Amino acid sequence: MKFKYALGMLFLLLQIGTIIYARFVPERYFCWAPYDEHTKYAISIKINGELLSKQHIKKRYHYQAVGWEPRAIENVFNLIWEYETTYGIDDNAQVQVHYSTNGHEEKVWKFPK
Amino acid sequence: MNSLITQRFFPFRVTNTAMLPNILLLCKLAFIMLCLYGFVGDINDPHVPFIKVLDQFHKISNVFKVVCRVTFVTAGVLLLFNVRVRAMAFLMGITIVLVLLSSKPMFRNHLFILGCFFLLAGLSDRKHSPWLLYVQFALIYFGAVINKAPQMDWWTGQFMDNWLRNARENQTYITIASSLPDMMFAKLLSWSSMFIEFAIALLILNKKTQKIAVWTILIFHTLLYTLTIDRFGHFYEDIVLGLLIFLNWPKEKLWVAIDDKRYMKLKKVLVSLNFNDHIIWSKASPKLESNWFEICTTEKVAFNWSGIRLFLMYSSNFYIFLFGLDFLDRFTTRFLFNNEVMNMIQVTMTWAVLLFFFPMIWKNKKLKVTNEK
Repeated sequence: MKFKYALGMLFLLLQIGTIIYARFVPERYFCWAPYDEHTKYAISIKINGELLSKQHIKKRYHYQAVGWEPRAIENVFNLIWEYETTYGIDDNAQVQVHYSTNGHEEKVWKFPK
Repeated sequence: MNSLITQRFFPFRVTNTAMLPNILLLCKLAFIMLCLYGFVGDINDPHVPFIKVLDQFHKISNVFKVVCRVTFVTAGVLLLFNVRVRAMAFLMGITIVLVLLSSKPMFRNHLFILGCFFLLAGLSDRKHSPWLLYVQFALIYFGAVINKAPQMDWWTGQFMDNWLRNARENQTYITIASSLPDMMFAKLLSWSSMFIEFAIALLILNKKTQKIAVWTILIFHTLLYTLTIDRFGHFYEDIVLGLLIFLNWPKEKLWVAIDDKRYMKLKKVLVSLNFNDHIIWSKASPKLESNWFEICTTEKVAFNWSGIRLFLMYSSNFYIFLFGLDFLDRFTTRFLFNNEVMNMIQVTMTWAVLLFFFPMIWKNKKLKVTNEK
């Protein structure tokens, strides 16, 4: 088999792998899951007792602070967790995400838990 | 002018390269679309990457950003000018995937899909059918179903109802849903979406049913666009452009005849729709007097409007024209009027084009029967 076909098949197999992997984790990346849930959310961050503005939150995560998430809300949690345990580890930020998925009752996700 | 358009490097030419013409056309249009949507400007240094090693680029700021931007634009421009088209498409695909891997907040399915198209187009060639791309297309729909089906909210209609009623405040949905029993319309939309996506995934994988898959995809996504007035980023455009992979570009020359005494202006327009050398214009008029247009391929003959449809299907500039018209219309009507007028015009235009080509579903079958006779 030609190398290019092997490479193409490997790329497709990786995607099959991510589709299967997504069955075992809450995040949905690279697995063709657009609009499989819809979540209204609002992020709030407190650093040294002060609340960050929406603009600062957007600058921090490169993601909007309030809105509708058309992919899994766990993607947003994962982004926040990754940021706060790496780039922002020294900030000791307290993050809360108020969210409601598919119109169900509102829940709160917190960092640190 | 004539000498310019016959040059191999002329950007409007898609034939005589290492790629199938329809795949090259897809890559060219996708590159232009990404530029128009500002993808190049969005490329930045890594931020919360999927692969931790990419964080090393923070030590030398702007290097990752500049390298990715320059690579993507250079590869895209060279592809437009038909230089090493497969390598350039592959390079663009790798760049998009790398940019997505470098930043979790940047992840978008409508970018990933184009990354996949470019990458696999770069691995295709002009001698074989682009089966890697067929599998990619099927995988998109399989993935969509596999992610939806285990969720109870997709079976109860809760997702659809919340999305269209609360998130989008879609008046069409609210009106229809209120006249039906509770959640019936939401369930109908949810179940049919899952069923259609699953059917598409299966139909794509069989060469004989690919034509049905193409029409199902077109109608399904256009109905969704009509109902939601949303293209989900540029996902709708991605899918429609992606359908070019299913176009069987003619391997032999096409013979075209037109009654140029009566339709001289039409001939000029049609000639301008192709800068490729696969169409030969006959000096003679169509054989029968009742016909004003005739097109012959090795497999079939088509006349008049059926012929025009076939001609347009194999005219690369026709797709470029539609793409340009869509973008220009979005820009001008939004500037002159408002989003509502823009959406109304765009939806009408989309359905008009679809309806014009709709007779091709059964017309081709008829021709085959005639040929067999």
